[in-house]
Amino acid sequence: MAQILVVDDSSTVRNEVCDFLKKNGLDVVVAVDGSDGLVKLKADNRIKLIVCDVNMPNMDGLTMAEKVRSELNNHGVNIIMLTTENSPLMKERGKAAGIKGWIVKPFKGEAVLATFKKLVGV
Amino acid sequence: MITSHARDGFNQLLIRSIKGSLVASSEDACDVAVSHELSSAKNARIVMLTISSYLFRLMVLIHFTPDDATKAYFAKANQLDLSDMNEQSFHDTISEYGNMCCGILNRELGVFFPHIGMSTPNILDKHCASYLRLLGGGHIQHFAVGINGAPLFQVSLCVCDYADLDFMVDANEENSHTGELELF
Repeated sequence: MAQILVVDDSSTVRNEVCDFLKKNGLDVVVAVDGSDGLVKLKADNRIKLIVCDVNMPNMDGLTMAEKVRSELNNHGVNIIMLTTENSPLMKERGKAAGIKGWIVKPFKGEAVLATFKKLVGV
Repeated sequence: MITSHARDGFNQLLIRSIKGSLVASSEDACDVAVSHELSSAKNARIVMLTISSYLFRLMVLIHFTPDDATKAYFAKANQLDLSDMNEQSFHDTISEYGNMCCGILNRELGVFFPHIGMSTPNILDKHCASYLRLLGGGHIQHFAVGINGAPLFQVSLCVCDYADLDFMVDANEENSHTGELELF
């Protein structure tokens, strides 16, 4: 089954998002920051969607998105940012890295479930 | 120098952020009042976040006591059993609350200061609050936060200005678009 990679330094958010997605029949893996996210993505070619925070220690989410395209040369995986940020400058940077969308926290699962399923092909 | 309008603006936006992020359900009433001194609770801790632009750096310190009442509120807010809330998960939960609160403040301030960025949360010992004045902030204000009439925690705001700051907040204008997916 296609996987969703949830990347957030907050265990509260990781648990909330993962619990919701699993309850709705989606397969999830988690990472605690951008560096960890790159490792998890590289190790699992079933990942079709990344749901990623922006502000994280070690490596932020926008840098991770840029490295997914430039270093891993992965142009197929969909990336959606889930963050408290709503800055137009950050969104422009994300668009340049080929991200698919942007959600301002808090996570409201029912509002995005159908789109997530479509993006992973379920 | 920080004008009185800007001081009011920082206070107003922080109060709006606290109220916007803290209330777990529509049945809860959140009260935020200016406080002139910090509580001296023995085992208090602090969640600290910073928001910075090239014109200022501000710190938000959430002073909390890891007692049963505080844990119970955050357990309920996150739909967790109180028995599942150990020290680590409690710190993670209250840190994420701080992240949500400062996220709102960051977005609201972004209307006036487009080049702005926010840190991740840090947990500090309560004694760090004693050094707040040494940071030389142009505006320091404490707030007492209560839920349904019971005190929950205190919040300190410290704004260090690197240039003249002047902006005015419209009390009726709130930026509250959250949870929706914006597709590109």
